[in-house]
Amino acid sequence: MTPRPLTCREAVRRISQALDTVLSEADRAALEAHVAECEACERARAQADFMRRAMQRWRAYRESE
Amino acid sequence: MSDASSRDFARQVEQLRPDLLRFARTQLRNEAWAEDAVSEAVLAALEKPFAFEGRSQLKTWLVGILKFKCVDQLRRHTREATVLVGEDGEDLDESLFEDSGHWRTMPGSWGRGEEALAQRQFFEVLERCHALLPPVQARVFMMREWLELDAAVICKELQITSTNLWVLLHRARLRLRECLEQRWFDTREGP
Repeated sequence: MTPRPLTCREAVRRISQALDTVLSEADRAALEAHVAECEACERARAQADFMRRAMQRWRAYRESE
Repeated sequence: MSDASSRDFARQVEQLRPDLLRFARTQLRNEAWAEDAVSEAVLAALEKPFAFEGRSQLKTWLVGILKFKCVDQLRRHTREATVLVGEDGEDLDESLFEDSGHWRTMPGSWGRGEEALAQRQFFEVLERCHALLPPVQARVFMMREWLELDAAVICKELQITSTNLWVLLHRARLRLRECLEQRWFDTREGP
């Protein structure tokens, strides 16, 4: 049986979770399928990745002060 | 280490105390905890000066010790899982998503993100946005994103489940995202 497609709310939760743990193959596939079709969630994922880089840069900036 | 070298080492460590305090305040968001963490880190450094082998800068070494002391403070002062998840403020989910699960508003493109990372003002905004996070979300978020602790380590230190942790981190990231979008990127598009 084909899994139900994710909603954006669910996809954003998985995007966050993927930053902290390895998603199962099924979860990752469902997320990728959703992001491929959803510009909003594609942007949300890019934003999540950006915030991680921003935190790393902020820490480096603070440690160098 | 000779007496003169010990005094010189102690003086150098003390000179870095303000920097260490600034770092700890950002992480812990509590003045008393930050002072305790720094005092413990300084004490640990002065008790074992030979552990600093000069391979890195003194500040880098001290910050490494301080990170562990910050985790100790968080472990001592953060409460149980059910309380953690229940007291962390309004859930943004409702305002960001319709009942159907779709976004209410298209997220901004943040196309100039890399430019932002080169600007001091952006980090001032980021710091303000972080300061607006509910305390528990802020602490957990900083343990993950600033101290770069693994999720499993955070769960063990705070005695929370991985589900609790993901909920807290998810909420913190949504809030931070909203704040940056409003205060920096300001690129809202209609539905």
